[in-house]
Amino acid sequence: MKAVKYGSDGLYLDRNAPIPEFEHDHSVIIRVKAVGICGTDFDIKKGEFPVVDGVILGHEISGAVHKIASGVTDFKQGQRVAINGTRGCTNCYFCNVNKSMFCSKGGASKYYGVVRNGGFAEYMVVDDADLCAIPDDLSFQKASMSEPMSSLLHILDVAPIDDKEQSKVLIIGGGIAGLNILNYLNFIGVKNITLIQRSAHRRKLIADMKFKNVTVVSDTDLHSEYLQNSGNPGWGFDNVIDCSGNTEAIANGIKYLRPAGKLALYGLPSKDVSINMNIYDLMVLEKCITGALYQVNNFKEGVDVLIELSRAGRLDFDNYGVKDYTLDDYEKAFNDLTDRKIIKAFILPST
Amino acid sequence: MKAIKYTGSGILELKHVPIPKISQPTDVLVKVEFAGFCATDLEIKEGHYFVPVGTTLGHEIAGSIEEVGSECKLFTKGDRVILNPHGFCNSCKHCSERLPHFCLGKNVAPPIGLGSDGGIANFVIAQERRCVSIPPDLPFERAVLTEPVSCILHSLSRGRPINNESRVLIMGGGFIGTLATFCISEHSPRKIVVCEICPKRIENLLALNMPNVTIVTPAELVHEKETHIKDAAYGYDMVFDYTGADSAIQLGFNLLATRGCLILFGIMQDSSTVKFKPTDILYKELTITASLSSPHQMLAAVNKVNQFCKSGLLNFNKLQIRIFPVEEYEEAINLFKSHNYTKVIFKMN
Repeated sequence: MKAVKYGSDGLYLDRNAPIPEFEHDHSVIIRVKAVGICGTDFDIKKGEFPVVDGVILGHEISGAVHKIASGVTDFKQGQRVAINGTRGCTNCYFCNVNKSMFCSKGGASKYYGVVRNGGFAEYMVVDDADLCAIPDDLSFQKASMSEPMSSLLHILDVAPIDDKEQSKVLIIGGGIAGLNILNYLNFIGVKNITLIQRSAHRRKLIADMKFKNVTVVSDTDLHSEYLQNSGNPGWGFDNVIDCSGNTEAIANGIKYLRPAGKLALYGLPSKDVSINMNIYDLMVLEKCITGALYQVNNFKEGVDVLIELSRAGRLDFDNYGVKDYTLDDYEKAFNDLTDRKIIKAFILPST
Repeated sequence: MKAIKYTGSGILELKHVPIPKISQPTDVLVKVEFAGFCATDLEIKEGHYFVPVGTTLGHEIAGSIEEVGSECKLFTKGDRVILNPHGFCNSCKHCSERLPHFCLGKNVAPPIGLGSDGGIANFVIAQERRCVSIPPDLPFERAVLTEPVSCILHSLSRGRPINNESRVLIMGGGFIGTLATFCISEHSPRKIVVCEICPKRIENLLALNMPNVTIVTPAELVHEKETHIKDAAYGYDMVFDYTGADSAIQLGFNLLATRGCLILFGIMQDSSTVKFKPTDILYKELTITASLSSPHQMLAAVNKVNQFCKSGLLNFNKLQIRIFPVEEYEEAINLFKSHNYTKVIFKMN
């Protein structure tokens, strides 16, 4: 079968990868229908995110059940499913304290598309417990967003928004992650959302999506506003969510917090970069910085949220700038994303 | 009356000044019995924390009501009280969000001893609302510990709740660190470790014989981490920094377990910077936050001090706390600054 793999020289298309086989009696072979490309995949491509050499990439996956092993009772051939890439074993110390992503057998250690073979392939093998059934009215592309959607829900677990009416929320970065968060928070009724987006072109794109109660600004404009308000103790945001991973943005994100405000790091920061944080500044206003990594028991919730958003007409991809590609065209997909021609790319391995 | 005033950079002086008069109908005049001196006061003396020149210091105050204003309803002469130094308007945005210590109200009188004249004096004026009753059998010299204990209780509320599974690290075994250890022990966490660099303080901490508490040096902590290098579950769930020292904060941060919380409390210089890697914060889902104080913790703090007093935990000898007559303030402050005592309290009357 065809599969896009990671090698030390970069990504490559293997046309003769073996079709995976059952690993145990709860294995399921999936015919992959849609897999999203994620910011992490770019870091992997650059060699900045640790992956197993020769692994098939792709961790935002949906497909159809192709074959089930003898112990599988919850799913049947042809069934449409989304795949949880980081499910914990539910049985170890970490899973028991709700830290499944640190699970030694599951979580990040089994991460499909990073540690175990993922979805940039015609077929993949998973455990039945990794699957979540999806309704017929949720497209495979949308269903593949379950993984990022469930991760972003986890942000709200670690840095809750206390009051939908009153809390002022700032999202740094209007790429697909920032947009997903914006879309979701707007949908659930958070009234005061500001989004920083550097490029004017993308700011216009987002403005055209016509979200109500959302302000889109450039990073320089927000910083000016911050400086102008330096004597105003009431200015600032209750929640700042960084989707950019950019060191300067993170340092500024701390500054933009109101007293007792929370900054959640979500975008992958550059490795080996430190911020010289002025902790006095952090201290006198009781600010808080935390991090949100992957999903923790949020996967089903992520699927449910996607279904809700889709049925409410909130996942209109034409607005987003989204495109489908074949496995053969994977390089073009990465390039189009890099060139910012599109915001999101889906690879459809079965076409 | 006598009052210890900040008279310019580096200088505190014992001044003789008139007893203040009540000018607002909801103010009271408090006769101060004991006033605590705190690390913040040292910062004020050294010009690192701004108060107007001529301000009387003292925000840890225990005494009795001497006189009440014409519209006072809550207290009468002779009532035994401690003072909450901070006021809040109760109607601004921050107050309504339970952030009274960031009150935006324009007409709130400044904090006692930190912006307006304080209680290292024979008498002090306060709004009636800032007075808190103390139990009749709680001696004034113990009650005066209420304000710092309220700050400690607030710091315990800033991170995740401490429970039987928690592994807690306390950086700093001075006055605050020790009282914080008492408070944290009540939650019966899985592990409590206190890290202290000063050998004399380590001796005092060991002599307290706190059950289930381990006292370590920074080197021992580093060694502990090295022996657990392969253990992904190792680390502390809550780290409280009560030192304000960059090196302690850095060490504490490095010892956080996944999902660990670092709470900054100790006073830092405003030039303090500590290096954090955002990748560490993200990949371990760490939280870093800070704690100041909260007027909402005053009542709980009175109860806590009362409880500790009754169970004999507030032995000043063992805690290296010393009471000085206010006339000996210079010696007292020097001994406090050089860590001969963890806390000094002035006897005012």
